[in-house]
Amino acid sequence: MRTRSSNGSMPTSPSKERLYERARDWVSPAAIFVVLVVLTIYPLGSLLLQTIFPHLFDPLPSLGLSAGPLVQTFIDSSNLVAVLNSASVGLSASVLAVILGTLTAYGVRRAHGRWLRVVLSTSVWLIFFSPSYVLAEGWILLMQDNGILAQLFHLPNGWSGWFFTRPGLVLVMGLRYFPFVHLAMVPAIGNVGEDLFDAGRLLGASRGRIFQKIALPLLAPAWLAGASIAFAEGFGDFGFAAAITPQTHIPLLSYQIYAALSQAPVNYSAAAGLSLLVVLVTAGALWLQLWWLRRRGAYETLSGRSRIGGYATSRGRPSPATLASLVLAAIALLLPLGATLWVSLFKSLSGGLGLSNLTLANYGEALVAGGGVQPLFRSLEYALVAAVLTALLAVLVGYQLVFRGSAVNRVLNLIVISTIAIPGVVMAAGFVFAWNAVWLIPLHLVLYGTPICLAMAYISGALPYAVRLQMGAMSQISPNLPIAARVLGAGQRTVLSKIILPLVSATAVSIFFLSFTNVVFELPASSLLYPAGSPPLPVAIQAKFNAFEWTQGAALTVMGMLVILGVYGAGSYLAYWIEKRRHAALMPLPAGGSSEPEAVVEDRKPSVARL
Amino acid sequence: MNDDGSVQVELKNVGKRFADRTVLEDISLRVRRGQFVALLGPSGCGKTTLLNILAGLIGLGEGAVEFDGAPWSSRGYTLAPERRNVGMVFQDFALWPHMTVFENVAFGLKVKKPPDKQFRTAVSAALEMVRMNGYENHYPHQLSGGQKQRIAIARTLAPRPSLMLMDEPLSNLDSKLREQMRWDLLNIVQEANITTIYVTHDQTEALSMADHLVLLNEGRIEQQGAPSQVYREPATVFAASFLGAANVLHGRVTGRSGKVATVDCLGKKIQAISPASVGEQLALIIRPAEIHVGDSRREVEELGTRLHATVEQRAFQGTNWQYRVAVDADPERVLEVQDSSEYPIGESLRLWMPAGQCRLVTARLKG
Repeated sequence: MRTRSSNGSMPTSPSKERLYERARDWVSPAAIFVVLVVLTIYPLGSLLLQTIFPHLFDPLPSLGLSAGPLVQTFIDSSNLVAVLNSASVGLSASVLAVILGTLTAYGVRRAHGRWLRVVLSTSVWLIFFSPSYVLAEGWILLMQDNGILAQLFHLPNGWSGWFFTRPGLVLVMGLRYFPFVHLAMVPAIGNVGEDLFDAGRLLGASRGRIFQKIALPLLAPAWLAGASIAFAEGFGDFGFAAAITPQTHIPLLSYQIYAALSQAPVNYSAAAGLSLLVVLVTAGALWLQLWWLRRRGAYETLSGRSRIGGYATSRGRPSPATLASLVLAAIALLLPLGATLWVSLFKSLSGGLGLSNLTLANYGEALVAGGGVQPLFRSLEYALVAAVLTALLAVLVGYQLVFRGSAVNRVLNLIVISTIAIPGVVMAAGFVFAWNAVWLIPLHLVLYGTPICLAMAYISGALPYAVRLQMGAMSQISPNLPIAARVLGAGQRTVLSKIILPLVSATAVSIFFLSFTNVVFELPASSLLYPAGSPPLPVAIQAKFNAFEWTQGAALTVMGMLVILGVYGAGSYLAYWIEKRRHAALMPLPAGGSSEPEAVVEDRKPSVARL
Repeated sequence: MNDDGSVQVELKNVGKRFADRTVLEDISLRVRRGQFVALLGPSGCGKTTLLNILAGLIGLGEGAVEFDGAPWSSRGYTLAPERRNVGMVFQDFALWPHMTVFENVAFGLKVKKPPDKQFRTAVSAALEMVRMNGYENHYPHQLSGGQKQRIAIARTLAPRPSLMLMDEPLSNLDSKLREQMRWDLLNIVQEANITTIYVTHDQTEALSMADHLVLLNEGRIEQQGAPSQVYREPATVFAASFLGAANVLHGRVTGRSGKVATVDCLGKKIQAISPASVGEQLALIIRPAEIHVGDSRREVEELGTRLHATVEQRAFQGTNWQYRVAVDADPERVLEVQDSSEYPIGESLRLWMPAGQCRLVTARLKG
């Protein structure tokens, strides 16, 4: 039987039409799945397979199962020491981060006046976005013999020996990771209303009891969330390891992975085994937090009460918590970055702090004679390509996950969520295995050592965050907006381009600039995957510091940051301009616009339907 | 309205499950060309799911949907929404905030790529129909709730859909505007002469607007028919109570004489015109306005039951008073009664329950 399709177009048989409809529903999720496989599943899978099949990536691959090399990896005392170091330093740093992050969260909440809050919040965000190795190098410039502090206070050599030990490392890592706790604590403190404490007081509870029975249980989820992320970040961080390990002689796990892949011959088994451990410990920390929350049972602290724990509004002297937070933010941000900026202007590191030792020549030398100009432009090119593709993919994946129902959505969502927790050095190691495999030779797909491989790694690192951001923006859109377009005859492409994209364009622009800035200073993938002879900016900066060319290294860092600030400023302005244009269009007309009183009850009914 | 009697939309034993929950079960419905059908039911009864199946936004689990005899949905097959030529009006209006009124209304036309002049005329005609000419350059945020809903309707009407679906389109408006929009909407739909399926949980909307009412409960059709028929002759306790206040009295048929059955309830023998057999356990339904207060002439003219009751509570409702009365002053046996006269609390009333207004239905109470 042949029927005419309902839109009156050419006749088709029902079975053909059904096949077409079904195939069309699968094209988009399948394409996204393939992209995620290429960018994340295949590299991580290769890493995992290497631990089980140690000869899989040999010139003559074999599927022989063996746990020997893996066992050997963890018998090796240097690896074992690195694991213990990472665990103890990560744990201690997360405890310190909880203390500092809680202090600054209270500091922001207790800050009188908008400006004080903005300064404090901006400082925390800047620390959050600053690359670990840039901060680490700044601390080294500040604290080392003949460093800034030594020259400023005429301190003898060896004065900062304590700093280049485990406690020093814990201190700088705590100062780097407290923003994770801060960002979790600020809304949590806001959600715990003053009424809850007042209720306890009115019933005769002491301050200690109120803290123990009310504040602690309600704030524990935020502490736990912040602490687990701080631990996971610290455990797998490559920036501190790369910058400080050579100075402190405290081997860390992520540096061992890098070393295993950088030595000759390459120790694939060690790299894979250690990477697997990082993934397991990171995932374990995050799982532990979720398990605890589930065991305790979730509850909401939000309510419709009038007195939530809001920001302080009255004018007056800053509270001790706010003052302490400002000092802390200055220490964590201004000291290392200030030291980098200052050293970038030194004629020589040991030439004193006087004006006579200041020069701008380092910038010229770092760029021209020092060969920094090519890495800088190379990184900007990588950043441009990776940021465009990341922003685009985030829109496509976000649209699929938020607005389109598909059986594979759960799988896609799981891939996106789980890869957020994968440290950069592990993902980069996965790329080394995956895109250097012998079975790719006949396919001419050995991408390792090419700019494509590095760009893919950059996208892989940025994509999970980008997708989460875009999903957040899309979930604010009424599900009926795309449905209205579909029933009017618009296909998926039209819905995406005409309805969804204009509404999330500001988020897409923000994602572009966030990814851009992230790629310019990305170290782990840059170090492990850059094409021979074509280092990007982070590798060039590290090379300068490793060669003790402190002033040029600092100059390159400052230039990179200036470019980032410029690009970020332009991006923020662009996003602001888009939003402003949209708001201008959405503002009520001054007169004659509405002849009826506004009678809309804002009660969006989510549709059960998906596209 | 052009109702030529031919069936345009047909649902055959439609069923739908979400995970282990049955949302729709055995839904069969025939919608004639030009008819205005209201799907009425409480939250979670499956009415929006049914509307989404009709729009092609979700697939069905069992049965089939046909439009003019052509398959739209069946198990494992769903014709895409954009290929059905349906229009949909949403509870939250779903106007695209980044587009002007003109762009919103023109969207469905542009997708079909008609000649430029033709689509401008169509936009203008659609705006004219909802009396919103002159608002072409406004953005949705610049409109009031009623205006937004008119634009949403114009957007739906502009491409001349074969079927218009409305998902509680008035529920986001305040009560005064909702009443006005009910009249306007009815005018627009009649003028456009498009088959319409209208989802609502508001029985006033359904009763006042629809040609055909489908009452849904727990995913099944409880009763369907003309609104006046469903209201006056509820087939179940649920149908009686959902379509307005009703006294539901449980009892057993103890005798019958010709058309009249005698039911034991409220400790009384109450007469009802019903074919029910002696011994059946049933529910007796009578609406408060159908119980007469103090009118002794009726007792002579018609069959029925006389009761004595005392006013326990009262509430003024504008044109009428609503009373809760205790039969024989027993607070356990309470009836609701409506009357235009005012009686003080404690007043003894003489009530008359006409046998023709007492309906006997199966005692099962749903929802």
